[in-house]
Parts: sequence; structure tokens; C-alpha cells
Amino acid sequence: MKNALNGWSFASAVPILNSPWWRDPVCLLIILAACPFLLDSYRVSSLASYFPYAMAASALALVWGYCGILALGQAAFFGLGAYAAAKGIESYPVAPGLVAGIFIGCAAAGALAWILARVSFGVRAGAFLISVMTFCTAVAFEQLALKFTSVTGGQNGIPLDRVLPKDPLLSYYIGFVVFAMLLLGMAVITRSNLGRVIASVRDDSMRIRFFGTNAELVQRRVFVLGAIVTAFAGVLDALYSQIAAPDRIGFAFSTFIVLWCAIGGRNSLAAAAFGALLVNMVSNELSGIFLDYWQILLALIFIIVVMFLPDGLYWPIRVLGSRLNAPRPLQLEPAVASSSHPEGPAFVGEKLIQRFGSFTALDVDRVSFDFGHVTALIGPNGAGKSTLIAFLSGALSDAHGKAILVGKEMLGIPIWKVARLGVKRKFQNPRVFESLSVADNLFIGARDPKLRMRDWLVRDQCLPIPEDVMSLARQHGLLARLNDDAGSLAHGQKQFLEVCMVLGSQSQVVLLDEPTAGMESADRAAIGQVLVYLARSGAAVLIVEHDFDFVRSIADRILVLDQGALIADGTVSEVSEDRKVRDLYLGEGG
Amino acid sequence: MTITILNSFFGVAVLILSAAGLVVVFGLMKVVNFAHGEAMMLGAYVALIARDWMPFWLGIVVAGIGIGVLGVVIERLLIRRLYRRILDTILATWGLGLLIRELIGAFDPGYSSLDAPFDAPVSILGSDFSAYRLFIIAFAAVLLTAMWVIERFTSLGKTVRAVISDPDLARGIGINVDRVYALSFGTGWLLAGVAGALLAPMVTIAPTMGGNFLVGGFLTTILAGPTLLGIGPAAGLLGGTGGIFATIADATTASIAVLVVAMIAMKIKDSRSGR
Repeated sequence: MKNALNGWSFASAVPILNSPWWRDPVCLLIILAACPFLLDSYRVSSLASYFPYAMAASALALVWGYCGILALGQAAFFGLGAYAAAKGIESYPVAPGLVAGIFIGCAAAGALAWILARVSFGVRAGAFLISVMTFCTAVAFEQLALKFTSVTGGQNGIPLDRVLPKDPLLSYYIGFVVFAMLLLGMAVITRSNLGRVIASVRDDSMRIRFFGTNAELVQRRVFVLGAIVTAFAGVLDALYSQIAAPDRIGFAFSTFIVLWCAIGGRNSLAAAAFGALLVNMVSNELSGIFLDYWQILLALIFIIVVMFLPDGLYWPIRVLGSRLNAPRPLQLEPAVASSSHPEGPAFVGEKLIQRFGSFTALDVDRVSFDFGHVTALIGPNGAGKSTLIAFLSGALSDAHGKAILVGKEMLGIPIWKVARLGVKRKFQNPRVFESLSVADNLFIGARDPKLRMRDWLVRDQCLPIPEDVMSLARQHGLLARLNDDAGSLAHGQKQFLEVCMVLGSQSQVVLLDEPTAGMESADRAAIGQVLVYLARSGAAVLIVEHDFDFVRSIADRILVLDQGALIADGTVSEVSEDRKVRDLYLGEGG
Repeated sequence: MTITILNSFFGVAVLILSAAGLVVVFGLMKVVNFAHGEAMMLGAYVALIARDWMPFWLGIVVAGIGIGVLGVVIERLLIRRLYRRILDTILATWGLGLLIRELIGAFDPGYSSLDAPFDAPVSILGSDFSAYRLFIIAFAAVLLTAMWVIERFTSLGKTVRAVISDPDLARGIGINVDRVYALSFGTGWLLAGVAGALLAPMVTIAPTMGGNFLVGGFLTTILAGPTLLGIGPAAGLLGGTGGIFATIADATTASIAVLVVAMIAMKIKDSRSGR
């Protein structure tokens, strides 16, 4: 059912460039498939034994490059897999032992990652916390491996009989196939809808919560997945090197995984894998000649990459590739008209108090606003307007009082749950996901924030967007730039993009903190028009605004805050007649 | 019993020494210095080399000044370019640590040891305890007190608190934040150098010795929170845990116990400060 207000049609698709997700992995796999025909058998078996490293580097690229989790202790997971496999094969016949090793190693790594994630991710946790915790864990695991000699064989590790076939070619292709499957599997996830969400978590893990995504859960899942893949790589490494040794579990090996990933290119799974293979092949060639200096050189290269080349060796491919990408059309289609909104108050707050230290930012006896109306929130600087908006979006966790938002008590609910009540917030300074394309930003804004199974695998090629939002996007040149990074937009365009993202989700309650700051009056009018239209269709719109003329032109009702207290509440004419308000503004203005 | 308590105090002292430099750098600059362990390692090497040339105490002073100056240089060359890119500062210092380890490792395989300047046991409540360890405990107590006095009562402390709470505002009221950053990074490294040199007689001196100090230092720093003084209670909790477990079990179990207790304490602290 198409929207009845359909003024123009989007039948002609707006083409969006998506980088072909399979390009990098497939190129790498073709090269690797050909390697046995190009290299001698010694080098082929060396290369095969580096496949586990390549997997670990790819898994780190998923965790770090795509999700922004700088994990510095991946070797703990790798080592768990290696030791579990070695113990399994040592204790049981080969086949069941290996299966048990894979299962136990991956489960243990997943559980460890889950615990670390519970400790290290959260609204207030700094991005560095996971780095520190993973580092400490890797150091602790190395000590454990060295200490419990009876289980781990101490310094000597656990030697293994050869499980893989003796034929070097066959054993190469076994590793190749396992590597290919894992690489392509991870590549599917990065291109899926979840992949878009993962990237938005990396860009701004706070902002994405206001669109209803439980960022902590996304980070946790990606981190646990990365740990399981790394543990699996550890199992494979035990098979190739025929030993599970303590030098695979500690912080030195963690350093190498980070180094391979950074040098290859953290932003591409295939590039990270390539980095691992290349660095190890070169080390292998140079071993015995000047290995000490090679390690120093590697450390230097690593620092240079960190400082100047965040894309690592992948950098030229990214630059060239952005010109070679084949267009993949993504349709923007008009959304079906949103369901009818309820009537009456969208929000009722009683005795709301928010203090920051000794400063009382908000102390309101009773405040409410209704569905179907544009309500303006005005007041001098420091009156508590932004505090109220932050409170309504769930960002203030230590406020007191009673607050019913869309029929639900909202105090104590995390931000993403408040957003799922149908409450969306526009920030004062535009906050968009800068490394995502404009189209992906619109997608993040418009999507249903619940993650389903299909979101792990499927990349939606159709984007339903309300028509008024679409026309706003079109008028301000966003549709012409759907493929560009949002970070490359001008400030004003970012404002419009964020407005479109917030309105795209057809929310019941829309909170806007000075959405028109720094805009020309024509642009203000355009946004005002959309807000009025939105309220007509039943939503509750609350807007913070300084320009009284603009307020007069769009708002049905005005709330006036001063020093944290509500001093007036009524229609435009009531409020402009109000004594206290006149004193406040005239007293200030002259 | 007395020995257990004294050893726990010594553990706390080691944590305070390892964390002091980290806390200064993290508190003021929000930079997590992953090369801190290597700075301590360099301090230990300076003390080792200085042994043949000068008295032990002078070696510690030289280690502090030398590593501190190195810190200022590194801040200028590396950290300043990565201002506020927190993950990149982690990576850069992590890479720097790797580079220092490899450089030292190329010339010295490690496993040297250094004698303490005095090591006669002292009798305390009937138990013998190493005099040097007692000295380390006293030194850590003095260091902590000095940090407290500086942060609370001096104009330098006011600057420090201003920069910690809001660097932009601090810049606005005329504080030269860039210089504060260079100095605090230098101070962090100076403290690391002194700590490494002081602790050198207690450990085997090797290029990889920094890692273990870094773990304790990090856990203390994270638990400590944003002020410099939080390291007192944080080190107390973790050092106490380590001391108890080292007595009833062994050193490895103790370090695992410290990690677990740190995680639990972090979680409790997190849930206490609201949701």
C-alpha cells in the first residue's frame, strides 16, 4: 500500500555504490589458490602453516577495524584453541579428540570473551578499557600456561602427532578451504545489515543507542564471535605446527596479531589476512640473516602505519578501488504511512529533579506535552532545556521523579530501550556516522532497531523512507550524494541528514535540540514544515529553539524553562502575554 | 602472619610505584601508555649500567631524569600528533613498547640481576624482613603523600585539577595545556624510570620484564578513577588480594586472583555510580 500523499514517485531507483563485498576476499583467495603452482614445496608448507595467523588477523580486523574494539589479547583465545586441540588429541583418538578440542576451545574462548565484554563495554566505559583488560588477560594466561606444567607441559608445550595428511599440497588445501570459508563467512557478516550497524557502533557507539540499538550487545557479540574464530585458528595452528606452546598464548603473540592486522589493513578482512601471510613469509625468508633487525624494522613499520597509514598496505587498493567499484543499485522507496498515533499526552513528568554535583539543572513540578502537536521549549541559556531533552531520551541515569513516556515509566530504562518506545533525538551539533555513506546513515535512521537472524546475513537493498523526509533530503542535495561518506558533507547538510535520520524512523516522539541552529531562514522554514506535517500525522514533536518568530510559526504550545524550573506553559499567545516570561526576556534584552 | 602483612604492603608499594606514572599520564592526558612497562624496563637497565659508574642512589636519579627526558621527546614526536585519538595513542605506545623491547633485546638477551644497596634483614615483631623491601614500602608511602600534597595544596595541583576536569576550559583560562601535557608525559616516564630502577634489584632484568608491572599498574589505574589519589585504595585492594593469595597459594594464582578481583571491583564500581 503506497502512501496516499504520494506527490512524486521514486519508481526510478536511486543508484547507490556499495563496494562489492566479495572483491577483496575473492582476489586474495585466487592468489592463494595459485600459490602451490608458483612456490616450491618448502614455501608452500610454510605458507600453509600461516593460514591460522591469517584467520586470527582477519578476526581482529572484524573486531577492531569494523567494530572499533581494539583487542590486544587475541592470543589468549588463540592459545585456548591450540591447547584444547592438543589436549583433546592427546587424550582421545584423533577424530573425537579433535572435535572435542574444537568444541571446548571455542566454547572456552567465547565464554572468556563474554566475561571480558561484560566488564569492559558500557555507557560509561572508555574505549580503552577493553584494550587494557584483554592485554592483562593475555599476560595472565601466559603465566597460567607456564605454571600448570602437568596440564600444559610448561615451557615445552604439548607436542602432537601429525594429524594432517603428509602430502604438503593436500595439507595446504585443507588449510586453504577452512580459511576461505571463515573469511567469506565473516565477509558476509560485514556486508549485512548487521555490518552497517557494527560500523555505526564503531563510528559513534553513543549516538547509535539513541536510534534504539543496544550498542553494548552488538560489541559483545562481535567480540565473542571474533574470539571463537581466533580459537578455531588456534586449533588449526596446533595441527600445523604439531605443538601447543606457551609462546602462542601470551602478550608477545597478541602483539604480532595486532601488527599483522595493522600492516595489512585493519579495515578489510582480506587485507589483514594478507598482512599476516606477507609478514610471516618475509620473516621466514629473512630468518637467520638478520632476524633481530627485522623485528626492529617491523616495530618501526608498525609505528609508521599507526601514525600515517591507518589503512596499512590496503591503502592504494582503497584509493584505486573507490574508482573501480561497480554500482549496485539500492532503492529508496516511499514508506507505507505509519500506523495511527495514540492521542493525549506523550509525556507526563512529575517532580523531576536532575542534579550535577551541587548544581540543580532541572527541578520541575509537572511537565507534559501531547501527541499531534509541536511543542516548543524555550528559555535562556542554562535554563535546563538540553537537560530536559537529554532526560527524555534516557541519557540521564540518575534523575529522580516520575516520568511516563508513551505510556511507560521511563526512569531507569537504558537509552536504547527509550528509543525503542518510539523516541528519537536530534542533537544540537550534528552527530552522524561519518565513515558511513549517506545512504547507510539514512538506513540506520530508518531501520527497525531490533536485530533479527536475517540481519546477520542479508543486506537490504530497499530503503523505505517517509515521503516528506525524502523530499527534504532531495531538496538539500542528500539524494545526489547518497554514496559519499557522511563525514564529507558540509555542516548544514549534516544537520539535514541527521534530521532525515531522526524523522525517517517514523517515531512517535521526536526531540530536536536546536535543529535549525546556523541555518538560513528558507532552510528553517523547510524543517518547520516537516515538523508541522509530522505533528499533523499524530506524532509528538518537542523542539528547543531560540528564535521566537520561528517558534510562533510552528508551535501550538510553548514551555518556558528558567533555572531548571518550568515558569510558563501554554499557547503562543498565552505565553507571550505571561508576566514572568516578559520579565525574563525583556529584563534580559534591555 | 607479620610476614604476610609486610609482603602485602610490599605488593601495594609495587603497585603504587608501577601505577604512579600511568595515573599521571592517564589522568591528565587521557592517554593509556602501553609503553609504560618498557619505560620501567629502561629505568632498570639504566640502574644496571650505572652500577659500574656511580653509587646506586645516583643511578636512580639518572634513570628518572633520563627516562623523563625521553618521555618529553616521545610526547613531542609521537603523542602530540595523535591528540585525542585515544585508540591511536594506545596503538602508538603499544608499537613504541614493541620497538623498545626489540631494540634492547637486540643488544641484551636479558637475565641480568642487580644487587640491592642494602639487603640485611630487619627484625620486625620477631620476623625478619628485607630492609630494601621496607625502604620500597616507605618510598611508595612518601610518593603517595607527595602526590596528595601537590594535587591538593599547590598551584601546580590546581592547574592539574583544572586540566583533568576540562582541558578546553583550562586552555580558555590561559593554562598552556600543551606544556602541561608535555610535562605530565615526562613526569609519567620519570616516575616509571625511578620505579623501574628502584624495583630492579627485586626482579630479573630482561627486555620483556615490563609486561607484569604493566598489568598491575593498569588494573590499579583503572580502579583508581580520574584523580591521582585513587591509586591508594586501588593499590591497597589489589596488593592485599595479591599478598593473601601469594601466601595461601603461589604467585601465579595471586596474579589471576588480582585480575578477577579487579574485574569484580570494576563491575561493582560501575553499578554503584548509577546505571
